[in-house]
Amino acid sequence: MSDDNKPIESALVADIGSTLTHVCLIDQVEGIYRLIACASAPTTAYGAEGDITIGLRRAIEKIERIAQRPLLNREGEPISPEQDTGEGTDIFLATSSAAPPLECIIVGLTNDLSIQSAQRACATANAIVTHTIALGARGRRWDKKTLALLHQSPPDVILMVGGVDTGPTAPLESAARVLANIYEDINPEQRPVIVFAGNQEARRPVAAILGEGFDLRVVDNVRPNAHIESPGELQRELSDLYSQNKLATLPGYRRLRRWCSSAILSSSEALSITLRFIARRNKLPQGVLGIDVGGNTTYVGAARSEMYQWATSPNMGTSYGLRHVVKESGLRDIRRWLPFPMQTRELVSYLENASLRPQGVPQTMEDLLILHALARQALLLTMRRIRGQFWVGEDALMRTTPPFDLLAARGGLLSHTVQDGLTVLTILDAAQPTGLIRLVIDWASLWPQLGALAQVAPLAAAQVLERDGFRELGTIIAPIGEARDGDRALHLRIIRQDGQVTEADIPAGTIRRFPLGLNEQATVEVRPSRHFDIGLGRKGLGGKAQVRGGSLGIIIDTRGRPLGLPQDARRRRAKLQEWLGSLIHDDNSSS
Amino acid sequence: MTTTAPRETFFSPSSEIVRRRLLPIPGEVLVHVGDRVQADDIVAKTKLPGGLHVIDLAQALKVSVHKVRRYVCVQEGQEIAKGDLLAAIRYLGLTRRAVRAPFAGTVQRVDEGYLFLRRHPQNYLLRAYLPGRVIEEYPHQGVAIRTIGALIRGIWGSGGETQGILVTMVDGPNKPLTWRQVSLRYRGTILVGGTLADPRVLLRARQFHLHGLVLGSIAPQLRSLCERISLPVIVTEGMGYIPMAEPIFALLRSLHGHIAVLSGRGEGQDNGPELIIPLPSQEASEEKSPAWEKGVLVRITRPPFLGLVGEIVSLPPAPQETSIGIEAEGAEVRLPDGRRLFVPFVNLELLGKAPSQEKSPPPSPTNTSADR
Repeated sequence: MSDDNKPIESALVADIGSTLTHVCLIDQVEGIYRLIACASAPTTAYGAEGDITIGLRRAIEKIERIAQRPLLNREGEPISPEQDTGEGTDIFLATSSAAPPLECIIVGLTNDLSIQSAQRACATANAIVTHTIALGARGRRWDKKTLALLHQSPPDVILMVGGVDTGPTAPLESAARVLANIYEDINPEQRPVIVFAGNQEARRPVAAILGEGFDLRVVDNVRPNAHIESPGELQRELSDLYSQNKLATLPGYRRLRRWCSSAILSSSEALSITLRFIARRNKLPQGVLGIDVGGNTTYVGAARSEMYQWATSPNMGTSYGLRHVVKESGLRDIRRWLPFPMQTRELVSYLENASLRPQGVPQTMEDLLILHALARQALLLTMRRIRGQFWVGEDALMRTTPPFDLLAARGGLLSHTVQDGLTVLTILDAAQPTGLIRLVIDWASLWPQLGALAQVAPLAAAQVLERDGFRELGTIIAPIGEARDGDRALHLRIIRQDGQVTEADIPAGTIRRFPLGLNEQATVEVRPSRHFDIGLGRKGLGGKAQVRGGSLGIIIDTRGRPLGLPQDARRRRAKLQEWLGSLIHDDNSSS
Repeated sequence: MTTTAPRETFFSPSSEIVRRRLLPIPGEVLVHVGDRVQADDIVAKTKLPGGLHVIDLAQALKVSVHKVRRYVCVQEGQEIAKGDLLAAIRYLGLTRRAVRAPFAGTVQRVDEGYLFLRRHPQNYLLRAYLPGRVIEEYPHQGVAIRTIGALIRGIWGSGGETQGILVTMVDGPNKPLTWRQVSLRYRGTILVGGTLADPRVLLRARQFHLHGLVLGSIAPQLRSLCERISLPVIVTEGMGYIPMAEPIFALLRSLHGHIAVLSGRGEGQDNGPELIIPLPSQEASEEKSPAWEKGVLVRITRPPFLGLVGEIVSLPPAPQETSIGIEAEGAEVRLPDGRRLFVPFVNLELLGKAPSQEKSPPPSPTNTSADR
């Protein structure tokens, strides 16, 4: 544990994901906090080893070899605080997303309003709604199957919602009594947690029925009246429950907790801290869109000024969450992203085998492309959640992603794909950013850890994030609109710092790339055709902006929003190959 | 960059195997340290609480919730037999509507117009599963049993635990198990096949009371059928058409006729799907994690070499780049056709050394097990 009086000079920070455990060493170099080394090892939460600290130790041992610095003591525990000899670090912090999501059952009175509000609150948490019980639909009577299900397979959480504040309390009291009877014979520790987020007037009688013998949590009514939705407290409660009841059940958690200098945060919560910090620190008026496609969870967060919106798709990812992506999307929707033909039988076998050995890494380009197809679907479904939850009603942008200043992407597959063009195409296809947006990636799998670090050493987190946290992929210009393929979408003029000018007419339905190196800047003038809006709120309105380069430079995506793919499989595959090719090859032809 | 994969025994021709057998809730342990047990012996027992059955009396009697109590004929806590009258509406001495107990049980509660009926507790008997010697006793919970034998872990399994005589039905690890091979004469046996693509095999296996199947791979569409028919099945390689790893097939063929125990339990269980062939007369090494070493056989678990077995020829000290540029720690593997390729550790499973015919000659099918 760190000495409270000693300033924090070094930190070892870990993120235990479902597939990989990432550890980063942070220390001061000439008075500035820098990322010294990072390493990863397969997470050992499941299987024969069954202890998350085993994989964590392996990753730390790798850092010891890279940094030539002892970090573990003889017992294999992180040395903290840092010794005079340079061994160890001042603090050790951890975040995790390795635990399965909370299983929730929503009990409400009617299928609309409160139940829908509760479902939306669950969409932002690491929670899966396995059943929704609307008592009003059956004359406020429970059906036999539901009662048997509740008794045989108690969920982690039962969310009780319903009734406007000051409304009648009897239906909720009755539901509480039924629940009390169902779980009467079950050991109190094995009973589900009950979160009451219904009519405030019913709090006291419900607590009188369920208060004893149940872990009852009372939060604000998610629907205090027909026109107001108030999911904030419920979202926070679900997030706390995930940390307390799910993360805490990971094998080896208690040992890990003992090693940590502060509480273990869920990775998504820690990532949200980082995304908000980026938006605030860089004073980005349109904010940051963060996307995280993990092995088992896909997360999207949008930070704008003081507002933070997010959506989580638990059990949806590219390794452990693969089966759920297939179940939710269907094979057809996954296959449509493949730029090569593949028989259904072949694809099914591939996906089944990949899910049986989720810790494997792709070895061929085809293998990698299938994983990127899965990543697109996981991200599309999560974007649909955040769009449905927060962005509906933003008029013309209703069906598209609103403009952001920065798109920050992370996740094992996106961060570790060597072909940046493929990573960018996956992001363009699934997140479908609009307007002018800078694209960065969490190359070191560091952002959640920096969120945790920011809680105890904000300066260290800020300095590392700014200097070592991003890998710039480039700037995207993606107009909203539709036009026939080949019609002029926009005219582009790029004026580089050395005075070199590149001009091009970009046709609709294409992706073009113009190199602009890392640390280079250029002025870009865009004149869209009357069919396209470059994010300025009106079609045909042009503009000028200063942009930054990156490994891919400036990327123009004129495929329109929302993105449509050709129905014909052959044509679609040809298009995908063309788009991927455009991102891999430079476009200098028009200069 | 990815790093070292967890080390796990996927296959061991002869090792010391210990399995813990625990009750789901506390109960009585029936054997003691030092006792020898057979697979079917009961080692512990307990009573599981009966399931809850909820009867909506308000709906059945067609009365409002607050009137239900006046028509209920039983007391809370009362034990009842199947067919007993639970509630009835009588008019002028005639019964107009009646609700009877669907099974024997105890009336737990009558509330909110529902009658909560609990079934009687059920006896739960825990079998040894593994024939061997009891080496540890966990009071009120269960025991640990040790044996020596061959162990084969499956990558996937379904169904419960079983035992039976191991019968290798095919003459090659890539040969499919066909429905014609499954007949009544194999009742009670565990059949070994290379691959499986025909659903009729599963249906006939159930029809003729086979005890289980051990396969290299199965067609993915058969997965749900396997789960539905509750036949213990383990798959060693994966889904699709993947021949069984040659060393595993050779071992199974050499143990044709032995008694084996099979557990098809899926993920989340202690040991996952596995096949154990007790060989108590053999000397064995402890069941321990094998090491990444030159000369060790490995199975490749990722396309395009999925299912191929090769031999580690070198272990590069630093991470290497794969053909698509991913940097990972791994091993250089020689394939059966002589090709050498770098494979990340996470895409490899250790199979250990190939079984040596000279060291441990296959016992005859009649010499099944010292325990028997």
